[in-house]
Amino acid sequence: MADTPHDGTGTVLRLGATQYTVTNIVIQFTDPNATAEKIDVSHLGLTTGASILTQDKPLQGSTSDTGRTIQFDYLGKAPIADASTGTCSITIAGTAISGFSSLPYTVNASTLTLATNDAIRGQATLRVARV
Amino acid sequence: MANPCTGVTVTWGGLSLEEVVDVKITAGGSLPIGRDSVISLDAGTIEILSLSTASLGLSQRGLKKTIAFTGGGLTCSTKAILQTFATAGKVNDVARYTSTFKIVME
Repeated sequence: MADTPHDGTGTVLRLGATQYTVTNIVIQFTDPNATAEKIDVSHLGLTTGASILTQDKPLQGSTSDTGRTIQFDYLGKAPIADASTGTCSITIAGTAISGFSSLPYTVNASTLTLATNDAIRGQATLRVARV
Repeated sequence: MANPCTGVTVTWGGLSLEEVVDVKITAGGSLPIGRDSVISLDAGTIEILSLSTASLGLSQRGLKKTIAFTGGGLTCSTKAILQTFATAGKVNDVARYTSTFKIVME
């Protein structure tokens, strides 16, 4: 059978020393000061074919908003406390994803779902530092 | 073919209004007073939204000057009185200025 080098088999997520049985991970990087976040100051005096004029917004993104989050689903009955902090790591077959080894995090949100005839499932969203 | 609204210049009393982003010209605001007359109490309104206060400001309120538009399908020249001048600002944005003129028929 051919290798599938980009599948997620063997992926492990740890928060501190606790390893979670993870069923899904979404890593999101968003630049809080993205260049798209500019003010359009184009005006009627511009001629046809001219470039749209933009100007930087006067305020910068909040320093506490890193723009980077990790959302993951897990199987287990232990809820993850909101606002808890620590370091997380994500490894694939024993190798940490670049930049995801001992990464400081804060739990933004956490849910635990208990339903009839199903495993207990949890979901958490972590805000991780820009390192 | 439709007129692209670009390359527009606006002058008020011969001085250029800068960074004009929106223009609304409404000629005629009320019916003529007499059956055979073209005179009406409201000759129309011009509203201009701009990002600059160049050549315009609250001190100009009530003054009558010639306002002229050229380019972008907006060719128009008429005498008008600056009736209101409004400034709007909000967080993390630029200030925007709205000027309202009443057209004067002379």
